[in-house]
Amino acid sequence: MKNNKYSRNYVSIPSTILVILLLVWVMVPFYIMFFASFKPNFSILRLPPDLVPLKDFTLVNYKAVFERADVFLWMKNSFIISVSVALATAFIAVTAGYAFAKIKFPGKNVFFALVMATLMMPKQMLLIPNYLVAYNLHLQDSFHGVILTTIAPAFGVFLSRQYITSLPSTLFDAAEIDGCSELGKFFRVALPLSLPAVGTISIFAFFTSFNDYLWQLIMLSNKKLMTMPVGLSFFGQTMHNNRAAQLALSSIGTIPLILIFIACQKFFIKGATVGAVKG
Amino acid sequence: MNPKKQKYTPRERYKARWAYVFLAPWLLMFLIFYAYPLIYGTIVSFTNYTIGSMKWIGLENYRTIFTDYRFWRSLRATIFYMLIVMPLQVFVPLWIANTIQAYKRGFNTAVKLVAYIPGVTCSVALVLAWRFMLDPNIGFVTSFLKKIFGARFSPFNTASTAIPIIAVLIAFTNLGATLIIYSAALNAIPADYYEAAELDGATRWDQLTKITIPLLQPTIVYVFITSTIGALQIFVIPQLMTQGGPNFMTSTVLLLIYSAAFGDNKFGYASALGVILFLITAIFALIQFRITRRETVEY
Repeated sequence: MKNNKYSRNYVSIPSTILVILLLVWVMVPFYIMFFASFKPNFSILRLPPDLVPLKDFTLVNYKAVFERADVFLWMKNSFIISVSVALATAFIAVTAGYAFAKIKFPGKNVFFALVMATLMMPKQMLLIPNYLVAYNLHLQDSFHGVILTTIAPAFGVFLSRQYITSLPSTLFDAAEIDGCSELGKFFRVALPLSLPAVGTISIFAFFTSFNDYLWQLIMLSNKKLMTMPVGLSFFGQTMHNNRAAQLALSSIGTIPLILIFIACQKFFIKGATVGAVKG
Repeated sequence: MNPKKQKYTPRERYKARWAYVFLAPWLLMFLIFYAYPLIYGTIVSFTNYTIGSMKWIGLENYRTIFTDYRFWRSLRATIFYMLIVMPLQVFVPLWIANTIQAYKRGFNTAVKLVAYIPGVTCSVALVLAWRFMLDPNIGFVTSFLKKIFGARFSPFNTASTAIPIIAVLIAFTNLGATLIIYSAALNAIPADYYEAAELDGATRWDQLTKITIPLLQPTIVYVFITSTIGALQIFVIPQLMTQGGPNFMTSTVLLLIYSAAFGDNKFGYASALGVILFLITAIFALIQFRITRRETVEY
């Protein structure tokens, strides 16, 4: 056992090749989306299509997209909604997570059971009643309505509770002895120390709400409030035969998200394991 | 007197009041946008609610659902999707995680990132790309399939080909998160176990089946439950690929809820479907809840 410290560190070449092939296959739609968007419609519609990168390079599809679709408006709307949802979710999650982690209070277990229950039960199930509640509160067709109804803090509450539990209690005791108020302990000790958890929670909330096509489709019928996913689907219907333009708009909608994802990758690696592996 | 209540000193009682202040934003959101809709939706399911009017009709909606072929078709399709999506989501990331475990940071991280990318993309954008590839007339993948299966082959005309295709697309958009979960769980297994097993002459296959899989069992169960619950919520991809057609053969329960409410304006009926979907999901959530509770006893 010279340089093979763990036997699970065994490199299986056939298996590795299969993994790579699978990932290549997963990336095929992205390759097509991106490279076909720079080609004239006719060259991607013939059989077999011409998918050689940068051959017959043209910007005509992007021109069509910017003429016929409110790309910037849709993008802006999506960002307004998802950034607000991300910040609000993180705030709600960290305040509740702090209470669960560091304060003793009657009913704690019952409340935490509710957090766990909502964590397991996705909100889509309540699609119709949620819509009716939003409708009765006059929350449809407005950003604040979509934002309020999209905030789903269960995952974040759970994550920040786990995180704040791991912070030493002596820190909070010391702050209290030094005369810190209850609010002060939260804002000056808990919040600054749980910024990594805040990052993970907001990034997850951001991507979830950015991709929340179904809810935005139902809630926003005003064209001025249309978001990127709804706009993409709308454009796909109205420009049914212009495949290259559809792919150009898809690229515009996808690339910023992939860049943000790559920039924030470490939060994903941390956050994804919450709930599955007890830390 | 409840002995629990006596444990609070005046100072602690003051702090406990602050706990409710910190809890308030979450509790408010929970009550207005989760608990209240849950109750309201159950009430609406016993009425013939349309926007503007509402009349109590008892169990009528439920009676209609169980005689509605659209419900049975959507339920059957949902289970069909689930039976393909679930094993793929449980075992493919496990296999990838086990394979890349041997590699150092660079390749290991790259695989995780690439596997995650479809999960952070707008699913609508992905669907537009797939629709281009799989279009019944002009899609090059379809035309390739036609060469194999004959010119009249049309993958989206029958559920027996449409559902597997859509299910595979769904399963591979969510590889990343599960892969990271498995990788973390694999890393948590102490190396000694493998070293000891190897000294005792265990083969690699023995190590996989006798150490790795048994120790990963809680993680596998977690992934199994969450992907099952996730499969019950399938909506976007079938809606954009087939609209649930032909005639609800590739529809899902959530898609039927959507079309009953926003297509037919039958909110009572849609709410009753929602209650049924909620109950099915609750069964799986309950199983998961009991398992997690068992493991977090020490908290």
